[in-house]
Amino acid sequence: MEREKTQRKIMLGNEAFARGAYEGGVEVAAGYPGTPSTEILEFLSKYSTVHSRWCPNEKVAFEVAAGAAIGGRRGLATMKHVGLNVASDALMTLAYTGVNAGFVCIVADDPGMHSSQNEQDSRNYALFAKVPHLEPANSQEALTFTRLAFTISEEFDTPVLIRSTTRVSHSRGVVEVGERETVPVRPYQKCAPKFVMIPAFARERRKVLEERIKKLQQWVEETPLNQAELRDSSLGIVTGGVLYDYLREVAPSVSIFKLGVGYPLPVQKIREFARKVERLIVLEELDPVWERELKALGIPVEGRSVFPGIGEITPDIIIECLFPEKKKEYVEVKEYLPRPPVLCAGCPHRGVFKVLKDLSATVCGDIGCYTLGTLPPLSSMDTCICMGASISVAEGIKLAHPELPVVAVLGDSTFIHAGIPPLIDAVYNKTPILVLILDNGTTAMTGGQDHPATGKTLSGEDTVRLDFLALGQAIGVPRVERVNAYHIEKLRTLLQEALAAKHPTLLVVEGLCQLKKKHRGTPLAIQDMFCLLCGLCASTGCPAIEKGDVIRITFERCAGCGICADLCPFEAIEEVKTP
Amino acid sequence: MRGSLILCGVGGMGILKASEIIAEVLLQSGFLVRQSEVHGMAQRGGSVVTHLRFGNEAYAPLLARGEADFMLAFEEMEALRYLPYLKKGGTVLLNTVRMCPPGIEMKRYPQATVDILKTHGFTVIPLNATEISLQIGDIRTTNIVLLGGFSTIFPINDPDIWKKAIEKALAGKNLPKNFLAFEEGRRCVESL
Ligand SMILES: Cc1ncc(C[n+]2csc(CCOP(=O)(O)OP(=O)(O)O)c2C)c(N)n1
Repeated sequence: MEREKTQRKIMLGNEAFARGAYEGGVEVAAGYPGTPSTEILEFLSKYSTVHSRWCPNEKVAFEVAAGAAIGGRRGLATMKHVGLNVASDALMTLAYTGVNAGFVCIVADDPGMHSSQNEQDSRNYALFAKVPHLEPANSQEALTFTRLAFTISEEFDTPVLIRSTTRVSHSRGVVEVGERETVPVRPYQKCAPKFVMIPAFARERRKVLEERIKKLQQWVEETPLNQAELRDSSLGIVTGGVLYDYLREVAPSVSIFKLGVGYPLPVQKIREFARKVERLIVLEELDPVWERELKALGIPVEGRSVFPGIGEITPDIIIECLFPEKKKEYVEVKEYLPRPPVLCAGCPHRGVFKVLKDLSATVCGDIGCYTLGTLPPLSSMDTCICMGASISVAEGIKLAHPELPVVAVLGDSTFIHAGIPPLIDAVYNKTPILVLILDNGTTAMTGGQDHPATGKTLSGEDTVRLDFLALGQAIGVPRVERVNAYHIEKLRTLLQEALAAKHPTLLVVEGLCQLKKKHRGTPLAIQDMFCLLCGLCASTGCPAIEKGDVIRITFERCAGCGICADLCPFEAIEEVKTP
Repeated sequence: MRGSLILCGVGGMGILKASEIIAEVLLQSGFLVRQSEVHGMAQRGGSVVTHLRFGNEAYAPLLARGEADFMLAFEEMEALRYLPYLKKGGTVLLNTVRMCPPGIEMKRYPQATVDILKTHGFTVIPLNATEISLQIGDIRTTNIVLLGGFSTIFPINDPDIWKKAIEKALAGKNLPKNFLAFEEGRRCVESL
């Protein structure tokens, strides 16, 4: 891949981010998976000249990449919007120290929550940390802006944020690829007043931060990343990111002020633009970040009064809110049924939730495929807030209601990400909760990435494998056990024992993700003459089981996991015999 | 020339690959392309849709309602779900396969998709791509059978351009089977 010359290609936004980082001479790239950011690092890992790695969480990734930059090599961190919450501690102070070689963090927002637990607006972090942020609109800009971001970072000695959104990361567009820049490694020099943020030094750096912003404010007035496009003067719209592309499509004749840099704003340039148009509107997704700032500067703009602040803004919404005359005729029918995502047939998570439901446990859940255990018919999750919160929230509920059978359920990747400190807390403060790590050997929800307990790195190299049982013992959990996810009765017994215990218990529930299995199990079938239609087999919501006048297992869908056969009181479910 | 299309179906049917191939065909024919897709949650057996726009100019990767010239529906009910994106009188290439969502009884599944589409004035081209792919011996070629059918009704219908794009997108894997799938899809729609 390294030898591509200048040529036009179609690239997914995330591939273009990776290409931009590669061309921009990045040497160390680190991240934690999260839709819609995941593929950036996966694409980058194909360039063998770049050291790319998955980290246990975003904070670690951010710091590794920042450390590389401090050390003199260009660093990149990638994450989804909520990941930046986790890494924000590092961001807030790295803004003080500055970098050495370029440091860029790509953060991907998910307006509309296609695959997220909230839709926070990461532009707020740029303001909060006082660092510049870029807003690419499409794949080409994803590439060029990322490439440029390293130069900006070095010129102003600052971390640079690039904010993507689902529609930038997960859309394809035509890009021109170029060559990788040769960037000499910068010398590393110990410099405590710059890099050791004790109060005395931090107070000085605080002033540097303010001076830097002033310099950036001058720069944003000049950079071609911000562009006033004057067309029809009756309406001017300030916008950035993919909304710019929507607007060009929907209303080719309106004047646009395109923000390539979302913070700081090019105030003079926008004022000038405002004078040239009769009506000025800010088009932005989620928070009215730019609108607020422009209003505070006394520039008369509209924004939230025209466009919604909840959810994703689509071309349809732009048409509806501002150009109703452009609405086209269309047909809408009502005959279709919902098709929500479900746990796969053969998924190792299914049996656990069935047992938890049978035991009427209070289940504090977490984030991963297993969050689908919330939906009927399993309906067995009480809470899900953010990664790692299962254990700590379970502790709190147990404190509030000691009589409840409280269980924390989290995936292997989630446990490594943010589950270890709360497990230590449960042991240290003796909270008698049951913790289940659903170890499916991968980070399934985001597409199956390796993590420290899979024994493989991002580049596919073998590495030390984190041992959950040994870790639990080292933490001092009074009872630590492993159990096969498909042995339903064994699971039931262990869970009952643990829920009666007066101390915390850790159960590692093992079963490989269905999508990672190399061989399909022998499909099962229901023998009608033994089936009394009790429906227990179908009570787990397995997509291979069809319930009509009779109950059937769809041969093509069945993975042969055997959970339904275990549940059947009449032993009516057996392997299909192939002649 | 400008145009747009919607591809829809159920996660795991090769919809993203099919869009990628169409995008490549368009690029090789000198057009700009914008295309959007949803990863993540939608791939767990959920409903999947991709939007594709092309032309000498192409900006928005999402279409507006009533805009798409074509719809490639990989599953019957999904054609109904995304119908609002299709322009009046637009064309639907319909894989006549019914996949009932888990937990829902088949008798609730819409029975008259083709009629509904026709009643509203859409042109429907039915093609049982799933069946054909099973005859070829690999259900994973369903998407390529559909592309074969689509290549005969799309302005760019030179099979060589399509085959090159397929070869590129599949990274040369299982080519004879996929070319056969493509040819079968073409033949079936041409003989309609
Ligand atoms: C802070 C944060 N980072 C990343 C994500 C994205 N994310 C959602 S689920 C998930 C993977 C969970 O993997 P695991 O815990 O192993 O469960 P599985 O999906 O394999 O069942 C990730 C990374 C998130 N929601 N929050």
